[in-house]
Amino acid sequence: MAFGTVLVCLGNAVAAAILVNAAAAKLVAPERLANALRQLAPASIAGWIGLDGEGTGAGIARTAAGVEAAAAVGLLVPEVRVPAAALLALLGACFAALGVAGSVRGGTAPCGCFGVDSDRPLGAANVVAGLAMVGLAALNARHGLGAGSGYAEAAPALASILSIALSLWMRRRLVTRLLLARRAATPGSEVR
Amino acid sequence: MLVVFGFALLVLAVAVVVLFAMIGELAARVPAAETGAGWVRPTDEARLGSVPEVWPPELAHAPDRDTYVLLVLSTVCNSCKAVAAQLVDGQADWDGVGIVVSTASRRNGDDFVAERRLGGFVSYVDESGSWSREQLGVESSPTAVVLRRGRVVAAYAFSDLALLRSEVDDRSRPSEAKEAV
Amino acid sequence: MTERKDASGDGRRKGLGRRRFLSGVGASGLATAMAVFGSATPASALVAAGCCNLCRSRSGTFAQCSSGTHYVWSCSIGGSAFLHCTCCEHGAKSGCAHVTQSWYECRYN
Repeated sequence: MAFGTVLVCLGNAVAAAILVNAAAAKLVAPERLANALRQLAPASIAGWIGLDGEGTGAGIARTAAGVEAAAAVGLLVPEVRVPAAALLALLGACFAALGVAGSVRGGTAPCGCFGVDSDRPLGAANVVAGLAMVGLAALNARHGLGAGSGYAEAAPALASILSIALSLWMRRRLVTRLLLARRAATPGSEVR
Repeated sequence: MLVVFGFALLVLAVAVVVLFAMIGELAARVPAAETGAGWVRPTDEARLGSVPEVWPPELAHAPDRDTYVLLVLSTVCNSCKAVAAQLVDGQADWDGVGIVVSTASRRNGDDFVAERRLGGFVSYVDESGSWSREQLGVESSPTAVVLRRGRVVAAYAFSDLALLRSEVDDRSRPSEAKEAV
Repeated sequence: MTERKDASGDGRRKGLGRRRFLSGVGASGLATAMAVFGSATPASALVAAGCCNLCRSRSGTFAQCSSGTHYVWSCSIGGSAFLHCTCCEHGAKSGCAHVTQSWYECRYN
């Protein structure tokens, strides 16, 4: 595998792993992102885009989950890699814009980008992530995969392993808590 | 063949990630939803045997009562909302109880009393929790402090107000000398 | 005739589904754009963390939160494992508007 292909393969696998986790989290708990979006949405158009009350915005969160999942899978299929990269760039631009809005407004609600484990509000981290996604999309557009590059074999397998590893790492507090509880509650055992 | 295997692995991985996400979400909601039987347990947090030196006007009558229970709640305590609801819905006839609302500011405390419909009970808004901390030795909620003629005789952490009340009633029977005086 | 009707009915359903999906994507994009250019709504969301009810999501350290104007209190929830949390709000004067940092830590005992 050429160096450029390795770079694209790694980058896409990492992006796919992150997107799969983000999509799963939004699917399971859309209300967190909906809450964060409601806080940032200006009152003048909140009603028009469906963010005008308690419990609204779940549809937008689920749509975002669908788009993320589609981008994740598309990046791993050589035939649709470039259109998926375009979708990735669109997502990245949205995240960056929301991060800017969160930073400027001083939003306080947790973004819910990765479900219960993301307790930070929308802000600078989302801008950085968004720009990185746009950069990766540009790399995909620039670099073509040669025939027999091995990308179709390597990328999905790598993305699968990274997805599970990321999911476990993001829930390390829960795993620790469950292990501590199993040890018949040692006094003073800390959980954050 | 390898490509098929790779995508099969991806499908499995996505299913596992969704499962972990569901487990994580459920686990996060467990502390907020108290399941199972209510409980009452003594806590060693309060200054047992002591008598508060200073009484706020709202609680000035407490030292005259044979038995009086102070429920120390807080505006940052999620479980205190459930306690307030139990008080309003199930213990509205309890006249030997006063509520101390520990809070960052007077306004937060007043809002808590209004929102939880505690206006029918004796309540004192304890700004910064300083009175509870200094006079009762309590810095945690929900905590019930049992007073006998103004003296702290017991303190409990609890989830079930009806259980707490029956525990307090049992203790106040003269035949059982369990007071920490 | 029937086949054509079925085909067009089927096509209409697919079209509706595609339209809803695209409108969702469009609304998301619009929400993003408007969030940047529109005016803000007041921040009033509360964060449930353990048994704490905080104004902001957790950040910084306890030392930072408990310096200057602050409010620290503990809470507990029981059951099979007793959860005890310390909750902190920094800058809390009146409502969440003045809170600049929230912090919490929970433990089982």
